[in-house]
Amino acid sequence: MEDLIVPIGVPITIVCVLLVAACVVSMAFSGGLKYPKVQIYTLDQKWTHKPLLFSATDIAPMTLERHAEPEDVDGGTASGKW
Amino acid sequence: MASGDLAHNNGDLTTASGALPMGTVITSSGRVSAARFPGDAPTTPPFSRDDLVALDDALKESSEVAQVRFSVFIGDLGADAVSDAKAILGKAPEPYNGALIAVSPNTKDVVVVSGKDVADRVNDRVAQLGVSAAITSIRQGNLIDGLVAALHVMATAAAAS
Repeated sequence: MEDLIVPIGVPITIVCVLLVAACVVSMAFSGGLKYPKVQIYTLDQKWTHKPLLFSATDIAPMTLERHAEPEDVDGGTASGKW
Repeated sequence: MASGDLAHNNGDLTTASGALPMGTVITSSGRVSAARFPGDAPTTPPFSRDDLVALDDALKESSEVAQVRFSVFIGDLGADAVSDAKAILGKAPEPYNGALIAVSPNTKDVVVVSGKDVADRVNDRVAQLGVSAAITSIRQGNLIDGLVAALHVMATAAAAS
């Protein structure tokens, strides 16, 4: 058993030391990379973002699924400007 | 982004999981979860976390109270805003049982459209209530507050009728 300490233990130790060194080097070189902050939109700005569609997804379906038809969206409508 | 309620980024989203970009998955709730790499531009909506949580909660509560699947669209609408809003509602979950509040910040349009199955509850009058509620807050510079107010007003009116 003692004969195996050197042939197995030394390579494992070297590999561990190299991995730690690689992590330190990688952290040192990635320190300058920051996640850009989200620019909060206000209504006095021009909207330059992609269109966004929000809908509650963590609720149970309210109806049975069915094939989409063009008249599915023929309900109430209203519009206005600010 | 607020947890849960962002359904999709209209237009660019690929629903087939195999076609999603690296580091992106569709969760069991249908939400797209994507890893962001250092240096990448933010892909989260340009609103504060509190605003997104408020919109998240309002969408869920309104949908459950009224049994109408509410959705909110923010983006450019064309010259025929109502027609465009109807096309967007068609891409939302359960469009026949849904209602959409669409806001076009650049043209200052607010449009509400609803699906065929809820036309008697989210009718023109209720839709107009939603538009009025949204415009009141939006004129004060509060976009998300306006959307939340419109959702609550329409949900209450739809549930009562």
